[in-house]
Amino acid sequence: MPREIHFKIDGKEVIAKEGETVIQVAHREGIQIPHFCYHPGLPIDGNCRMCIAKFAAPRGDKIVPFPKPMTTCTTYPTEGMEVDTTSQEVQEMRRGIMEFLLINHPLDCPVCDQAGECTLQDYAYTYGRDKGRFQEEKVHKHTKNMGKYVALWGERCIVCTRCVRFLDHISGTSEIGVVHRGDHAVVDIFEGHPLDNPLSMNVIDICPVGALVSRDFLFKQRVWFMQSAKTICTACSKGCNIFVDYDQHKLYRIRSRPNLDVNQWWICDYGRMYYKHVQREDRLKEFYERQEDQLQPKPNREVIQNAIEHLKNNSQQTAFLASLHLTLEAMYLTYKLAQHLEISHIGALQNPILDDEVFPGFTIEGDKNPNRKGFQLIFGQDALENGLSKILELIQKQKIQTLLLISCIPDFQPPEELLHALKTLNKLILIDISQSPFLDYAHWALAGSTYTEEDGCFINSRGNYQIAQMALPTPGTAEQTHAILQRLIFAWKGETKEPISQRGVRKAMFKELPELSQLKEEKSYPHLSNNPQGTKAVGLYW
Amino acid sequence: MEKVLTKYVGKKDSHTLRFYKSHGGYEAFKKALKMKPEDIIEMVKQSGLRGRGGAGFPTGLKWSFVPKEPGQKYLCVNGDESEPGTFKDRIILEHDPHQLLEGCLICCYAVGIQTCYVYLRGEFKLGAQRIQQAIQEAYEDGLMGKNILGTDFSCDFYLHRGAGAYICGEETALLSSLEGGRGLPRIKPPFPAVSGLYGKPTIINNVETLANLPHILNRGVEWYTSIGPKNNTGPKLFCFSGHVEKPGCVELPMGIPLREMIDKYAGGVWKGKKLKAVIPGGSSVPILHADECDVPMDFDSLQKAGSMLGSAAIIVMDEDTCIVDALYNLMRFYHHESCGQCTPCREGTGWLEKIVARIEKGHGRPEDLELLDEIGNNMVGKTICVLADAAVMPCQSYIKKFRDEFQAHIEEKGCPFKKSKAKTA
Ligand SMILES: Cc1cc2nc3c(=O)[nH]c(=O)nc-3n(C[C@H](O)[C@H](O)[C@H](O)COP(=O)(O)O)c2cc1C
Ligand code: SF4
Ligand code: SF4
Ligand code: SF4
Ligand code: FES
Repeated sequence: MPREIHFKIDGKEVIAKEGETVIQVAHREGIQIPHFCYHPGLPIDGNCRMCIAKFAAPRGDKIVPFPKPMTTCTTYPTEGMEVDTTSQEVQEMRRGIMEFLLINHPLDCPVCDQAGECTLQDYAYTYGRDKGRFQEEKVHKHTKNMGKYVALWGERCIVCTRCVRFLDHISGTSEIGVVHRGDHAVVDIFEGHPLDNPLSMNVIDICPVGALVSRDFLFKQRVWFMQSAKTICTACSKGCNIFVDYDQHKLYRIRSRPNLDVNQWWICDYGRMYYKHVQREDRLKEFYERQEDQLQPKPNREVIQNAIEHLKNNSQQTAFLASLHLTLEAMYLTYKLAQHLEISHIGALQNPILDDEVFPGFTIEGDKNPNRKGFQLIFGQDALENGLSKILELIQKQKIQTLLLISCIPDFQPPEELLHALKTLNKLILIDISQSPFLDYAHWALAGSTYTEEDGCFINSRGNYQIAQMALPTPGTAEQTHAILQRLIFAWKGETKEPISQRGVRKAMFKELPELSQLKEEKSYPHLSNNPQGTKAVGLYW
Repeated sequence: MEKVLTKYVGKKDSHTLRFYKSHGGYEAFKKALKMKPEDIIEMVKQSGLRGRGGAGFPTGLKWSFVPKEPGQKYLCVNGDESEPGTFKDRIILEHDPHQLLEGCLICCYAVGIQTCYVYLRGEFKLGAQRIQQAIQEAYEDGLMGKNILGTDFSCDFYLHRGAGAYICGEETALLSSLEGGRGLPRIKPPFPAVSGLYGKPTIINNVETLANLPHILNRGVEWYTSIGPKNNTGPKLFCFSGHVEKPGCVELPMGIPLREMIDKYAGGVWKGKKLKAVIPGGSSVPILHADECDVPMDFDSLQKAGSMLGSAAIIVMDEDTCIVDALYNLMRFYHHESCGQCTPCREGTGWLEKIVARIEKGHGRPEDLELLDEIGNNMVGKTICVLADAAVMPCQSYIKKFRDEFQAHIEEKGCPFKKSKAKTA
């Protein structure tokens, strides 16, 4: 059994596991100790000195104070130790550290992207002085682009080296280092070696100030105007936990949401830029029917009705292709529709599997499909592996003449054989999210939903399911994909009901399919990302 | 006093192995090889030898912290000698390198070390040449390398030259630099004796500290402890600089009153001027006012007097010295040399310099002196290494002891010394 160390923080009895420093125990116990350089996912450096505290330890039968204060992020507790993080004296020390951090700081919060979610700003409220005592000229430092996605405001850098440690230990690419000494110290890249690894934007999340900022998000929105959806990235099978930050009109950015089991504190840049497809001009925003070889916008109900009529009358020659990007609920409803129509040919539509990109502290999975396990559970291994090729064969033999194709894969590159087969089809019914080569062949095109517009669940590569959270509604008359499928089922039944919520579908699904009962939900770690400031956008606080 | 450490300084070819051996060199090491390692450590403890690098930490005690288990361990010789006013290690490196290397061998044998790095400040060109040559001679003579002198003790030596940063003299920054990184001090604990170079147990000792060892082995504890006052034993090198008639490095026992030292061994204050102040132990220690200069020059007495022996660099200031200007010079130094790693020192050293510069240039404000003091308090004891304390100690002590002079600068909006100079010109 690992050794336990009993000690006290501010009078509270706490227990440390071996290898934990005082700040780690404190945070586990809900005792906040201010800090800049400490990050639970990175090696400890102890440079900012903000987490400073006073210590005492038993010697004989007395508790003897330590001669000097020490930093809680670097100090391992010993049996009977007493840590003081709140006394007047400790607060004064922090005030001193804060003053030092601010003297050469530009204090340009009004034009700083970090304002509103800035650790320096937050602590300045608590530990700052109302009036600066520094009357000298400030030190000047560079502002530059560090790489494709990341820019540096050097004067805001507090040299906490979180970015350096991330790049040394997690991505292992070491693009950033500290240059110069004393108060000229600032981070920089080597000439000609920009910060361009696929994990680069994590440094934006972990930079406690507005020094490293996102070039994508730069000057787009003040953080207090945004809200955060706590959701799941669907760019690959890993299922990283993310925040999608948005206001009433649009999405602005993706940030990592800590989950110790799935993605720790990190996400990749593909995932961070993945939201772009959601609000691009080429989104399908309406339902269409082909007339005189042109896709014409039509009311949703009419398209649903006409499509289901066709399906009913041709179910013998119909196959379904469902993508590995659909929510588990949409897959389930596809399965139900197939059951009703007695469709026996179902195949999978998916992105090709690439090699995993392996970094010392993070792996970007090569399977660029978020719900492979879901498909497997709902439709079976055979449909996953052989469904598509069988269907292509049947199309070639003209045994299949109608295809319901539910893609919703962003920027999908369909295989040539499939496009070729579509030419010979009688009718293609397409549910998709944006312009794609499929549109040229579609007779009916139904506008579905992207990953930020649904509350569905996805099964990650670990085999656990996670539930997404909707940020914005679908555009135009587009509908959530599961709702479209419900409408098709209702139309088949001749009912005029409105679709139920995704959660309702999920309940029914878990009740009906015994295969799903063994599924576990991935644990979430809300305490790693609560919101100390009360702004709407969720702050990361660790 | 009989010269011990500097006995052969100035003699022709004193740096060669031939010379060293013909004057009894490496006999102490041979003696050591016949002793049990723990007996050597005990002997060093008994001798009372205290580190000559600045902190005066008991050397034998430091050695005893190294785990006894076999395994990779290192000795790093601290020859970074960058403390302003200090030039004692240089004498040993250039004139008697084998004395140092013999001390290293004794230490390595006693502590169970098989690898020794000699870290020299980059500017020591001649010193580096001499050490390199001495190492080569010693290898050729079977004093280094595998199975030294036919025993099963093996030890390799390497010379490493720094790139010229004061902070690399701080023992853990030295390790970072030696490993090829920026010279950044490390958080202690763990102490290097447990986890140092490449995470292995490491002893870091000053050049002069190690040079004492052959003499302790050769002549015994009783002889050694007879030099200097109790707890401040052994020969010591003192560096005189500043306003003295005869600046230079002198070997003396500890415990001689400062004033007497200056008058007797440095020719007194130059040009017949009056003494104003003395920095007794290198730029980082609190300054002494002229009337505090009867203090005996040893670790304990200076500590009692509110200063430190430090690197034993005695910097003398005559009556015409502007204390504010002197402080400005030092503040510029510490600002320039702060590694910039931890907040209070990174930001504080620059702030101190800027304020002192302003005062010296005639733009001081009445509240500046309080502010300087408070900035200092916010730095001391809150940093990764003690460079911050080293910057604050002069600042606070100069102001405390020469407050009038600072006030005069502020009130007269300028430096009174510069004005009087201008008048006489
Ligand atoms: C900023 C700073 C600079 C230092 N520079 C030196 C130096 O140049 N040479 C040295 O021997 N010790 C220097 N020291 C002291 C070393 O950290 C260490 O205490 C010493 O090398 C230990 O050797 P000793 O026990 O033999 O004295 C410095 C310490 C500090 C904080
Ligand atoms: S980094 Fe923080 S404190 Fe600095 S300007 Fe930006 S918001 Fe303000
Ligand atoms: S850029 Fe940000 S993360 Fe990097 S050292 Fe500076 S403040 Fe820290
Ligand atoms: S005290 Fe100064 S020199 Fe020492 S680690 Fe901190 S910044 Fe560097
Ligand atoms: S958080 Fe402990 S020193 Fe920075």
